[in-house]
Amino acid sequence: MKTKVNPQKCEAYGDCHAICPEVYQLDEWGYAFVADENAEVPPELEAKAREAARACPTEAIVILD
Amino acid sequence: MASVWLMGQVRAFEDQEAYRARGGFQALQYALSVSPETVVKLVQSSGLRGRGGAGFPTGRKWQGVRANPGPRTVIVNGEEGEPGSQKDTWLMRNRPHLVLEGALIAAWAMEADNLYFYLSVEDWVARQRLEAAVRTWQGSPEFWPLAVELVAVPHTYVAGEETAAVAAVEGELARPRFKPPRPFEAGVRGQPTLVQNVETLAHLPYILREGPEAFRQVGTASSPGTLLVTLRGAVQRPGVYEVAMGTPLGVVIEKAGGGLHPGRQWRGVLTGGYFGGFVGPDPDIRLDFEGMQAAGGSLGNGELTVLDDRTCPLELAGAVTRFFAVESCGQCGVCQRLTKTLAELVADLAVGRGGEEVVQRLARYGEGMRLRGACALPDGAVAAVRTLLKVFPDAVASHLVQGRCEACVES
Ligand SMILES: Cc1cc2nc3c(=O)[nH]c(=O)nc-3n(C[C@H](O)[C@H](O)[C@H](O)COP(=O)(O)O)c2cc1C
Ligand code: SF4
Repeated sequence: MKTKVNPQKCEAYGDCHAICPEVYQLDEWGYAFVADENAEVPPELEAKAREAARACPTEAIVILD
Repeated sequence: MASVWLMGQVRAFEDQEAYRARGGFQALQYALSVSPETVVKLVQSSGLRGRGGAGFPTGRKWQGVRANPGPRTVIVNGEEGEPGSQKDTWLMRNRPHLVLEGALIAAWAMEADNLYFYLSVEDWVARQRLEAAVRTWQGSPEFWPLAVELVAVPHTYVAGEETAAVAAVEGELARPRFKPPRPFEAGVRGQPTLVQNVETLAHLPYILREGPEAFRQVGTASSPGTLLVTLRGAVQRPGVYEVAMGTPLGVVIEKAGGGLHPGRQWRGVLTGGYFGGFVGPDPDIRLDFEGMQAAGGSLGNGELTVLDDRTCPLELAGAVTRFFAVESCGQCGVCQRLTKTLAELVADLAVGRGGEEVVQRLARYGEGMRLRGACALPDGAVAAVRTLLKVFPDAVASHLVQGRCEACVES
């Protein structure tokens, strides 16, 4: 599983980072990003990443299975 | 300069008769006589790489499009968004039949149902000549039922980005879309779509007529063929020139550009239009995708802005970063913030405001803020900042302390 943030949708709510900081980091303006979008999400973090995606108010997080 | 085929003897508008007299449309006739797969194979073995900016191998892109079931679409990208770039418009205005033949070869190879010429409304000369060329083809023996349309949009920087082109063809605003999907998977109306730069397409007739080996005889192993260079800035003869890939930068500036003005000193080049960042005054830098990258710049669209000792790098970097801040289409929060911040920081540095912290912040953004937008626009601003600090440390130091440098004083 891979994941990325759609920067056209992200409005810097920060919920993803609150739920899964290992995968979703925030920049100085609060916009979320994934350090390496081409890297596989470690299996033990997959569930938390999916939860973060569900929680995002703007549906900015994309999960690529 | 080395052998040339995009410009050749052509200096002004070439009509269909003149183009046919030079062997025009033989490549298309050949393509129509063989299978699309054969055409793809030939282009693949030519090693042709995209001239729209990224240098992506054209044959591989074609395979990607063809791997998805039809109907398929081809977009000829003639939007040419880099400020000052003139190569695509030169081809469309002066050699519309060459551009058309290349586009038709691509449409045949993709087994496409629709072909769109995509350009800016301001370029009405190119538009009229392409339309006339299409009409002559529609009455020629090489015609087959392919729907051809012209789509013209108001000129912006992002309009030339591939997903913006797809959006414009669909009748929406020419603004980039989030990927995936990329156009080769799902572009115009969900169809697999080939978005190809005008110059890339203009190489195809030569490749099919003379063969991939002939194409590879010019240029370098990994960047074969020639490229069109738009030379600007502190050279005696700015303009569009065709040079072999791999030609040393110093040779291009001297032989094509006529060198610098007497008494001036060369201090660097802004590469790839506004997008590729600065490189220092090294005449041995090879003008191909690898050579430019190794030097810290990017070949991009082949546009080179030459700086001499009267060009203030801070002034140029200021223009570049302001340009990106203005041209950011505003869909991505991070792009808006980042491009605006970079423009402000460079402006502060230029007048010596904000102290060392400004340089530190610029360095941090320059290294750490890559690939954050839905399109690559912010990366152009980041590259300008990163290379400004690296290539022109003296000018940066001088502006930091005095708010000016020697170039500012002299000009
Ligand atoms: C912000 C942005 C602007 C672009 N503008 C242009 C353009 O004006 N013309 C162009 O051919 N490609 C442009 N590109 C590159 C296109 O997205 C695409 O890669 C290109 O047209 C593909 O053609 P090629 O494979 O023949 O190079 C732009 C890319 C970005 C990120
Ligand atoms: S990165 Fe910038 S220019 Fe590109 S789509 Fe997002 S806001 Fe627009």
